Amino acid sequence: MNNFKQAFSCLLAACFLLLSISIQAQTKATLSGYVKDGTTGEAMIGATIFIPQIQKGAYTNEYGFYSLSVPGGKYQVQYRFVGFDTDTLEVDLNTSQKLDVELLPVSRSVEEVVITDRASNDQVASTEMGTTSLTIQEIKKIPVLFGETDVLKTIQLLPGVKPAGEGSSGFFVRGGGTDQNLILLDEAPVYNASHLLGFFSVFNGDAIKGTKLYKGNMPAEYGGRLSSTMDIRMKEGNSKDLSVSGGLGLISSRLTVEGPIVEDKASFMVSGRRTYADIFLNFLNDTALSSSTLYFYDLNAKVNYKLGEKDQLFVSGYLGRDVLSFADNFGIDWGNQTATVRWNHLFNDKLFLNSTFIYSDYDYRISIDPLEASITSGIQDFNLKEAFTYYANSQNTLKFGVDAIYHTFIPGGISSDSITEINQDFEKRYALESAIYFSHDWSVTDKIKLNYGLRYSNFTVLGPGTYYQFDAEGAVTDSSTYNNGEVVANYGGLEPRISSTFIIDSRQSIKASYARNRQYIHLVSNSTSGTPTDVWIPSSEIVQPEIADQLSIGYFRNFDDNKWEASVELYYKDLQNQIEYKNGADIFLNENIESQLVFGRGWSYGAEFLLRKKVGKVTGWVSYTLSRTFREFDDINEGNPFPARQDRIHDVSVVAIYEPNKKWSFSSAFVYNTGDAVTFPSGSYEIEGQIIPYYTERNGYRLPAYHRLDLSATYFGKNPNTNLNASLYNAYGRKNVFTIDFRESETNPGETEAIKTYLFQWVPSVTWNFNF
Amino acid sequence: MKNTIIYLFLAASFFLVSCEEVIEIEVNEADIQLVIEGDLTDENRIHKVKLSQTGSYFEPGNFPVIEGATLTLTNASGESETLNDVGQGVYQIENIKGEIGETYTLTVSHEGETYEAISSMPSGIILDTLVYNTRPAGPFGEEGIVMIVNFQDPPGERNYVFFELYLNDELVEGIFLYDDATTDGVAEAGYAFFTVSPEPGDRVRVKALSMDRDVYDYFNTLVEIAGGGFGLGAGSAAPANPESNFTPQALGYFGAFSVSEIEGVVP
Repeated sequence: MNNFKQAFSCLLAACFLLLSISIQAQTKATLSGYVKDGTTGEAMIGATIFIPQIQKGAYTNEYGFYSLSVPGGKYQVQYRFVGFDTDTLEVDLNTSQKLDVELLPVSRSVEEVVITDRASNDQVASTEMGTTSLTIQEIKKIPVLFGETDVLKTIQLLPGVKPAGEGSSGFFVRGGGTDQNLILLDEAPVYNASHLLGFFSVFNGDAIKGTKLYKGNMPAEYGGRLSSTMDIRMKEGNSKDLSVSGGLGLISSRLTVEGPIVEDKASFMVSGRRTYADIFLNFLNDTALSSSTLYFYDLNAKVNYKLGEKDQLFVSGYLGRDVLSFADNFGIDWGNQTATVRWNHLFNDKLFLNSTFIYSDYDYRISIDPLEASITSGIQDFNLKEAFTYYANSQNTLKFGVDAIYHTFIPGGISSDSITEINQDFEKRYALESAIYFSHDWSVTDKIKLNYGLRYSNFTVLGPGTYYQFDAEGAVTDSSTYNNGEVVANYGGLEPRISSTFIIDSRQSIKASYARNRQYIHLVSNSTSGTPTDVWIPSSEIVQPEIADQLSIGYFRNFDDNKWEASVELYYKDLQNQIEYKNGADIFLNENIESQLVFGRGWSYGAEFLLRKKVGKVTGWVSYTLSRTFREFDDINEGNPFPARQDRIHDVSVVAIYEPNKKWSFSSAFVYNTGDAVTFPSGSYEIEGQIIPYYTERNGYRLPAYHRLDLSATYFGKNPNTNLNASLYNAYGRKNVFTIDFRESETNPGETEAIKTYLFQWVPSVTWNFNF
Repeated sequence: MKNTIIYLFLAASFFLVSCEEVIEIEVNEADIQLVIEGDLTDENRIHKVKLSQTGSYFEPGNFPVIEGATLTLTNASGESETLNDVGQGVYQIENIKGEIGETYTLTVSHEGETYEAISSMPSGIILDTLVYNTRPAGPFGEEGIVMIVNFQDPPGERNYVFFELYLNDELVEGIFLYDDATTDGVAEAGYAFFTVSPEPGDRVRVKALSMDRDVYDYFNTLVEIAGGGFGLGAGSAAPANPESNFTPQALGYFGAFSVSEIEGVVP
């Protein structure tokens, strides 16, 4: 705790120092306000406010707020956002002004698209690197499985982000594991982002405004995971008119209702979705199958209320559940619940405070009806955040705040009504994860920009509970019992973050960044692809916090009046205290899960290339990643480094969207990646009369390369409020490997053959979307 | 229990129309390794240790046996015996009898390398009754009969059991393992053979082989490997050779087992 105090006082001192610098800087007037979508009243995140005369600008924050301080004078101020008409206003800034601006979307007309959808050089000029923003409008244009808009699937088409497997919502960022991604929905962590074993993500496209992904070099306000932070924001709800939108698809349907409660003061949004894949089961002859269920539903809701000129309140929630049961005998259901309450307060036109209270819960339940038994497990968080932003002047923006999460880990247990002997309840684990941070976004000169910050994070494992020590074989050697609130283990440390941009000219820049991240909670998974029964565990005396250091450097260049964006980023990431299983680990329903783990290190490096066209009739991108990822554990592979499963050397995505006129929109996506590194047997032997595979090196084999082409066409009829979308997943029917199993050959008994299982050879889908 | 979950997922992936196809995989050349398989029980009979070698993966079956090795068995009381090499890779334990509570050391010397394994024989569980229940249709197949063997679990000690199941005197393939992590000291513990579907009239014989932890760990990891490849996009999460109780590591095991047996007929 002493460390924490020291870090706190250091940070405070730094903040005051910077504040005094910025106050001395010469400013005369501040232009501030909100930027909103003129048709729905939705706040716009990341809209640009720019004054060409003095080449100064700002971006709106997550709530659409901006603040820009400049020397007094009359200015032409541009407000712009991709896909919206740029608005230029003349503003007299001899005194500070508050100006709320509404932008209108570019109309879907042939001639205007190129002219009005002005591109910007944001990617060149900003200090951000290793980040990607996608608006829901962009996401919706890209074809996906079953025609279901999916932010997690779309993000996997970008460089450095790779899918965890066919149809999986899990993803790997720059060689990190799937549990090293922090996925936030309205700031609430979502612990399992998969529906239906990962074929859908939990994020309903109709309820989402957009997302931003940080590939390791997060700003200091984010923390808790090593490899990435994905910040997903829900729509606030149309504050102008009541609107109903939705879609009818082959296996799922959606409905969203949004509208004002008090016009321009309060609005709401409710969005629901349900799949009905299981109705097809009724057509099957197999009675066991036809009496099975398989569906998921989710519900997003949000209300916002403008309390006054300076205060705004947001309440949002998510509830989702998957239900899978087999012939009324066995069932599993799982889901997330999140709730977020946020209060934005403006102290003045420069100091913005967001206070957040978050609740997040993930749990799964397996029921075995013949035994009247059930198994439950999960994780629950209460989280409080205070985040300040101080817009000192056009050169300096400061962010600082605190963050505290109280975790409850529920490792589960088994309970049965009929066989009471098997009842067993595993002890819950409790921990407090806290952090304090500040960051400074600083335009040092017109050419040099710097964003640096420091985060101090701390993790305290708290009682009550009994904690065990294990020997090398995993047998209990010692135990200690702690009382309520007693400290079991405490970890903490600094996480410096810095990124810098050197602007060569208005078209090109060089950026470099370094970030350290610490991760205190870990996912113990039954398989590498992620299943609902994966268990989150806290750091403890045995499990040390994971630490990652990432260095990256990039070159960014725009062409042809910013219509084309190109970038190259190189990275090196070092990972400490990585977790793997012991050989043959047994983790299911194992209370002493820690005894089944081994610890080691990892590293990854790579080059990411992206060429993207953002405006015009044809838009899209080509991305290529060349990378390697290794792990090294004393207890695995005789201590030699081995490629991690996600070591995919080549990874290519090509996305093209063609909008020839206002009636049609076509899109296609092609992906290619090197097959996963896997362990196959190299020989066999006989034990107990059974043939047993003999293994040599870990991950010494490769699955066949994965590639696929998806196509999609959307027809906007005469009624502009409806459209019909048809898509074809895996258009050329590539039989991509889902798993490889080995078994005795049916044609040549006595010989073993390799069998590949593949899913989804051509998946067509049709969806009708409406909006009234 | 674990298999239940896996079957559920397999079932779920079938809903999503999965297909299978044979593919060619090129296997790396592996060095030939020694395989040792040795049992000693408290049954009054001659026990055997088998020595063989690894072979090809895709064309298994031709596993060369090893003759002419020197095998010695010693117990904690100091008795020692050189095993009788009867050919075909089989070495017999002819003098030393397996006794509950005794600890045995097997030494194998072959081509200049010496391997040693230690195993203790626990008192173990005593089988009580055989029960036959109706199994509803589910992931294990159509409606049928499920066999449950009941036994008393001795309290205060961890028990590790390997069940051998014989239907009409034929050994049923499969490794049926039980440990009392969640049922220690339970008077009416049971083990259900979910994956086996006997018919009325079948003669059933169940043998419970109780062993020490190291041998159990070996079989437990063996199940993970032999039963590996259970879908979920990954196969076994961490495929590797099971940890044998031989030092230095050899493939296989040497185990001392106490045996309890029960017989019955499916009604």
